[in-house]
Amino acid sequence: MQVRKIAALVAVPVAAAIALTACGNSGSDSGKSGGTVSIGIAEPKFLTPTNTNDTSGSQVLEALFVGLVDINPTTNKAELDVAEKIETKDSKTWSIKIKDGYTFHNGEKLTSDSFIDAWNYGAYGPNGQESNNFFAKIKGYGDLNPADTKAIPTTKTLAGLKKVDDLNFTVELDAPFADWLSVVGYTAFYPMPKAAFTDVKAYNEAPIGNGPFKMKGTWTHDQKVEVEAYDGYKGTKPKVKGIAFKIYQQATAQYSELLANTNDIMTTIPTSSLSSATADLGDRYKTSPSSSFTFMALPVYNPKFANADVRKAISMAIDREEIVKTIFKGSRKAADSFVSPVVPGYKPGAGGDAVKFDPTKAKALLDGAGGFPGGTVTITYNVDGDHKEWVDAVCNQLIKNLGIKCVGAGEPKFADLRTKAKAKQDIGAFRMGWSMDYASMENYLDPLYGTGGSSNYYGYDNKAFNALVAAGNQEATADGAIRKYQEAEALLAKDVPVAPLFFGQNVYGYSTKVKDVFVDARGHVDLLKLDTK
Amino acid sequence: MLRYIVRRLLQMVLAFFCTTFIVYSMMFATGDPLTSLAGEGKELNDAVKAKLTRDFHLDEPFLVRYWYYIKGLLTFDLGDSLSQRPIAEILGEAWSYTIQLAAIAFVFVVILGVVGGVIAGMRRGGVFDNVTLFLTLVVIGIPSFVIGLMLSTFPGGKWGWFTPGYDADKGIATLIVPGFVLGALALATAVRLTRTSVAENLRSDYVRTAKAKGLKKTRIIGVHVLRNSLIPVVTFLGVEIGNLMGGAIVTERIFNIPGVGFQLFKGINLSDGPVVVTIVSVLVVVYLLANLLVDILYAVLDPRIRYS
Repeated sequence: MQVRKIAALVAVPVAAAIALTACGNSGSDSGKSGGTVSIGIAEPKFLTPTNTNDTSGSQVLEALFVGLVDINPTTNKAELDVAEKIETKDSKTWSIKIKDGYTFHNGEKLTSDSFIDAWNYGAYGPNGQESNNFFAKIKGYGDLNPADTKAIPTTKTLAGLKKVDDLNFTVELDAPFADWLSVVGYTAFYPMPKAAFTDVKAYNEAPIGNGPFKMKGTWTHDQKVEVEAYDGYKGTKPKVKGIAFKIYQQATAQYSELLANTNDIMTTIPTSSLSSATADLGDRYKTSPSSSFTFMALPVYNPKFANADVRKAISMAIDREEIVKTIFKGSRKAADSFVSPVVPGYKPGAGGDAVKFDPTKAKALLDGAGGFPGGTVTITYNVDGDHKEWVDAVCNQLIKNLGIKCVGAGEPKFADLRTKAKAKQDIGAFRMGWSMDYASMENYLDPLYGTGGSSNYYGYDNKAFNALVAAGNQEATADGAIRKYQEAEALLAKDVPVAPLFFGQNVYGYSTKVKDVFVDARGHVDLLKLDTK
Repeated sequence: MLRYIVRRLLQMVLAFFCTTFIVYSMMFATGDPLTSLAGEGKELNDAVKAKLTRDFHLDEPFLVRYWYYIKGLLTFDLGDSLSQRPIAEILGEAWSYTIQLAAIAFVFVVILGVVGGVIAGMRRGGVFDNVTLFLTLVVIGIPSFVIGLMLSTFPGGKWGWFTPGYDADKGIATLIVPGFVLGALALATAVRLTRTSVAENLRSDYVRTAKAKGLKKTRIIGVHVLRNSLIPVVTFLGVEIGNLMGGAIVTERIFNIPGVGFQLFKGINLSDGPVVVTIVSVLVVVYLLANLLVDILYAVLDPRIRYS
């Protein structure tokens, strides 16, 4: 009698909860092609093209907009999209002709002004746009961004942008840049309609684009952004009729929803779920190359790492394959060069001996250089990311293979690590990462290894290297540029300013309701290929 | 009574300013928010840095910034978050979720907690009593985030019994399981507290007198025992309202509910000072009000307690 009462007490709320939540299990229409799909993202920072450079925001914008060129999801090369032709003789002045007949979702015709106005807005310093620096190569950028950030610029338009007629305009760069089309494939270069500039804040909540999908309602912060197919779209039409971008803050919550089929696509499965992902998802668990690149900076500014042989010895003593297998369960790849394999021009093994695991040679090299100064290598990392495990593994390998001491040192946040590195403090070797903004070798070489590069916190400074990258930029063709970039990379293999460690991969999964899911190098789902089943 | 309430309200004002000052200075001490805002990604460009510095007075000394903040609060202007959304808007949306969630948790605690506690207290030593004692011990022993994660992964994710995260289309139904997880610990404590209290009161003189007078059992329990037994439980529940709001930070993350705890966590992660300080200030007010409410309820339940 009492037992029955207990059972009843427990069963009633549980049953009620299940009954209430289970009803209406409708994430997407199943059973046919051309339904709606849900894709998990994080909360975007902004949804204005010139103000968006996070993966989640640009994934949404990719549905709403098309640019002059499109980056092919598999080859990562720039291909003409809205542009009918783009020509240049000297890689400095580019004439652009756009295709006729494209319209924005509000009916406004797409013209040269749609691009020129948007780029001017993005480049204007006081607007404080996140992608402001992407326009830095265009002539006149300096006038819009005076060195004194409190001063008001004298002009609001880039001198390098000239309208010829409604469908033609020219762009003049400050200096020749052969791979500029790769840059133009980036989110920041999407066009914006006139309506955007009257109230940018309102536009950010419901961007009006020119792409295959249009907004359905407005952005529900921290919950979702919904888009539906735009009937007036002139380009290749998508197969699905709508997409709900569902916003998650916690990866484990998203993974649970993927398993429950209430979210269709998850583009980054968390490391903690990797060991069970194959069993959970079967052949719906996939990997594809991503542009992310993890490496260990061996700061040249630090006297302990001043000797190139010491740096090379450390890099050679790391068994990357072993760490990839045991810690990342194959979800990453051992790095063998200084640029990601996704960019055109990557050469397998370009890192030379420095990236080949050879403990005996490494030990000999280090002994030849007189051992490691002080005898203890410190590897600094930020504890708010998933880094401790592999840093410890690298440390153990250095201890075993080089016979030196090694300790991992945690900083609370990456910002703390970066501040210390920028102040050239002795924090030993440190963890770094990079993902590309645009698919060009230059986007790895210049910011990471160029003198004064935006992410070169380890003081690498090689005039010959800088000259080769600059020479590559001035080539007339992208292929010519690549040859020069590869020569520059060869110098890195000698100097080893960083120890390349891992190439990232997209580790993604999808529900039973969708098919043809592909995640490209920038971590975006290919929305045109995607379909329901 | 009125004087008492006024005095308490004045104390609250002082407590409020002290806490905001402490939280504000702690956020200030965590360093340059412009470097943290980028997370593991690339550094913000100069144009963005200049704009944020301008908008948030980042180049001004601490006291001046605090003054701007208090001035905003007093004129009911909560300002913008570092991600440039009005905080009033963020909070307005977030509160509705947290209140729904806390209300569900509270209903579980009150109904299951009090009913379970009364039954267990009346039949001390019985099967029901022993089973609840064991179950509540388990719940008290396991941290709520473990319970939450387990529920979200297995019955929610792998077995598909319920939607493992909040879903706006399905509404409040998807908050029931999270609400249960949020209230679990309080529920267990409430059961035990009520049980002890009821068992104790059942042995008291007035119950024996009532029985001797021939009162019905339902009346003895329902009116006399319950009213006396509820005093400690009400104290506990009042304090618990504050805890439920704070505890939501864990539950809301696990079940992806965009409530106050979710926003607070996001703010801390991004070193978004304005958001963190405002949310903490609001939580402080909730706590203070809940405490005041409890103290007033005492007097209602127990006529012997008087405030002057």
